[in-house]
Amino acid sequence: MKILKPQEYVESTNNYNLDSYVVYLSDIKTKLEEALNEAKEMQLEQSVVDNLENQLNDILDILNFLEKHLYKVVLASIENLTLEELKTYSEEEGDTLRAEIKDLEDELSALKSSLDNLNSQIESEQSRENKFKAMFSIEDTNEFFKYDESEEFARFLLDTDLNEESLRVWIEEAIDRVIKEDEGSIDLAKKTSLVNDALARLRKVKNIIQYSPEAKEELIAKIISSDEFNPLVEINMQECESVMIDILGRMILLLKEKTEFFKGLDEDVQNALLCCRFDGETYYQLKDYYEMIKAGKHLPSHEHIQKLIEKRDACEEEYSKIKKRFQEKKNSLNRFEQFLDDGAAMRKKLYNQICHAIEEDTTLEDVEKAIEDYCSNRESLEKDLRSKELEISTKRSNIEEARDILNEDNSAFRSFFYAVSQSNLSRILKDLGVDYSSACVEPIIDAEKKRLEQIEWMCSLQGELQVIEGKIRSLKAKSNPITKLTKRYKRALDELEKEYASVKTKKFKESQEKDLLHISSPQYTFDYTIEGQPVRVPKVASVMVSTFDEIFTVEHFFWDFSTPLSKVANDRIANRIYEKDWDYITGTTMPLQRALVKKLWYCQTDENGHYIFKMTETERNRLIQLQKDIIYIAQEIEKEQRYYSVNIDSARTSYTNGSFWKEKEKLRELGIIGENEAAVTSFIAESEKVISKNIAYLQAYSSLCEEFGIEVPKNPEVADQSPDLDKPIKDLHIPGVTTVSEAKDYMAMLKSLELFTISEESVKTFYIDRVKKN
Amino acid sequence: MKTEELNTFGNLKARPLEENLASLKKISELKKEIEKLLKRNEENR
Repeated sequence: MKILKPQEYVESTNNYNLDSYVVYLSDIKTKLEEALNEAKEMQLEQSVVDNLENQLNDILDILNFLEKHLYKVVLASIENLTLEELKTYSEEEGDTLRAEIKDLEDELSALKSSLDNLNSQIESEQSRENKFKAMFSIEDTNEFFKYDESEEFARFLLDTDLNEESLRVWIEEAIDRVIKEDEGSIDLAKKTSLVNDALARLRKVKNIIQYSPEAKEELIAKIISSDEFNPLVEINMQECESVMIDILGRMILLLKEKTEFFKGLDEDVQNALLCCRFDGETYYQLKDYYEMIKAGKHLPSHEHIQKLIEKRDACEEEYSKIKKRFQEKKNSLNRFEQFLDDGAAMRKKLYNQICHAIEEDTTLEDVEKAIEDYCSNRESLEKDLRSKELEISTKRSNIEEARDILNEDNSAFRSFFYAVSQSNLSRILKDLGVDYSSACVEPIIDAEKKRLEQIEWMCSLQGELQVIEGKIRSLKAKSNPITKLTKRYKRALDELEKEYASVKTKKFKESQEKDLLHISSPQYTFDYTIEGQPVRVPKVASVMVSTFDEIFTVEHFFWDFSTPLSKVANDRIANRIYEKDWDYITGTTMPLQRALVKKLWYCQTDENGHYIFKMTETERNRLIQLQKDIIYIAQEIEKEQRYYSVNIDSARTSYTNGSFWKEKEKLRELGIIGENEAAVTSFIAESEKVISKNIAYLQAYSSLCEEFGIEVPKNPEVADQSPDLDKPIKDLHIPGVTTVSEAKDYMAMLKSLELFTISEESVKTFYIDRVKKN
Repeated sequence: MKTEELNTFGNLKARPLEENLASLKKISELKKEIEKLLKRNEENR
């Protein structure tokens, strides 16, 4: 197929569009690619493949030619752009800047308004706080808050040597206040009599105190509480009694009202205080504040003010930050406006933008910088590479060792992990609330011993009763219907029955003393789920101990052997004994299950299916022996648990002291987690990747230096390797340039474009200088 | 090829800058595709 050159294409198609021609070339490329694949698939001769490749190379030549000249056109057109046209290409940046400035202005204005608001809040709170402080520093403030209780006030009246005339005026005012509040009236004579009486009483009390000071507290108590001896209340005028009770209270009010502190308060506060007679929320809040100030503490408003100040400071900081950004943006806008008048600058920028458009974000400066960084990093890279190689060699040997450890049939390793898994099982059970350890078995043994005591007691009771029953049976057998009517027979029978009852009473008393009727055993929860999966925990303790609680722990009448266990209880016990949980009990606990089942045999059933606990002597002896066996088994379990916990400790000790510990530690140091083969392999692969990357890195560097004619001292590690142009270059941030050969082509392209007036010679000098400096 | 070949597509300088830039981009992409193809063939040889 002949590839049409531009002129031939236009002549044959009459299409003058450059983009159509590029599409045409692209179609041919696709067809050639298909042909190439088919030729290879059919294993045609190499000459056929070569021919196809040559045609692809022809297209590449045409494209290179087009690209080179189109660049010239583009750059020339930039040169010819007028100032106004240039502005249209640049204006976008100005719009962005203006929008950003507008946003910042809005933010500043909102912050300013918040700041003003905060400042005014702080000012008002502070002024309120200062006002309080000033108020509380008034001299008689203490007087104002002093007398809330009549008792205190009475003490004040008795302790203070008040002028009688002023005391009279005070009492009169208090009486007036009471009358006024009750909207009543009193004639002058009555009032004078009340005042005189009150004064007389006070005088009397004071007189007693003068000669007998120890009576003071008693008198105060009487003034406050006693109806019989209240100098103020016990006024002889019946109708004024209710008025008189309030006099003390009114005197306190009058005292408070006269203080400078009260007079200095705002009118609404005064009204609030008066309204509740100095007993309401306002009064106690003021009092709290006063106590706080006295104790040198801050008022509650102080914390609020501090928070407001913190908020204001943060707001100010934010304001100044945004202000700074705002100023920077303004400066940028100024610079940008100047830039719009500078055609040369706009043109230069447009050049750069075009370079970006063509090669995304690449400029010659980028390449220079990347190579410069590369030079400065070279030394440390070489050092790093050597140390890495050394490290990897050590690690390789360590890994080999680790492999040996892991692959060996290492008995220490296995026994340790067996012990650890057992220990983990014990820990899990403990976490689940089941203490599967020797400490758990001990209380079981104790409970079973108590049970043995109970069984022995029950057997002895049965034995004794059986003897008496035998005597009764034999007496009845010996007697005929006539002798049965004799007094002698009746007496003998009566005595035997009394003996029977007395033995029962005696034995039950004994059982109560020893607390044998009710034995309660520790209980455990049974069912759990771990990660959503139901788990049946071996509930040795629960099954062992609680099964026979229901048989043995019953009411007294059960021991009469006349009252059989109910069917419900019977079923419950039977189910308990045979329930599936026993399937989970293995090892030494198995004989225990069998023993418990045997114990149930001794509870015989009657014809109704009820259990009756009546046994022959042999059965009783067997039951006692069986209970002893149960205790023996439980003790064996406990021994096993003890041995097991000691075993864990010894395994742990041998592990900690032994060589295995060191080997394990080494694995951990090597960063091999989980001790598995995959981790080891992946570690080796990663390490090798690091080596090869670094070798490629140095090769790329050498290659670039060679490109610019710089002599590179050969690195012994690198010298023997032939440069691989397809090795990737690390950290060279030029889009589309990842390998050495691509970097070379890129530089050639930049030069061929003649975009920049830098000669090859000057480029060489530039890099030689860089290397010399380094 | 001579520079005149390019003139067959008319006065490219008279085209808007954006159009020329778009053409450049297409040419560059096609070039890269062909280069990759040739490189792959070379490797498989």
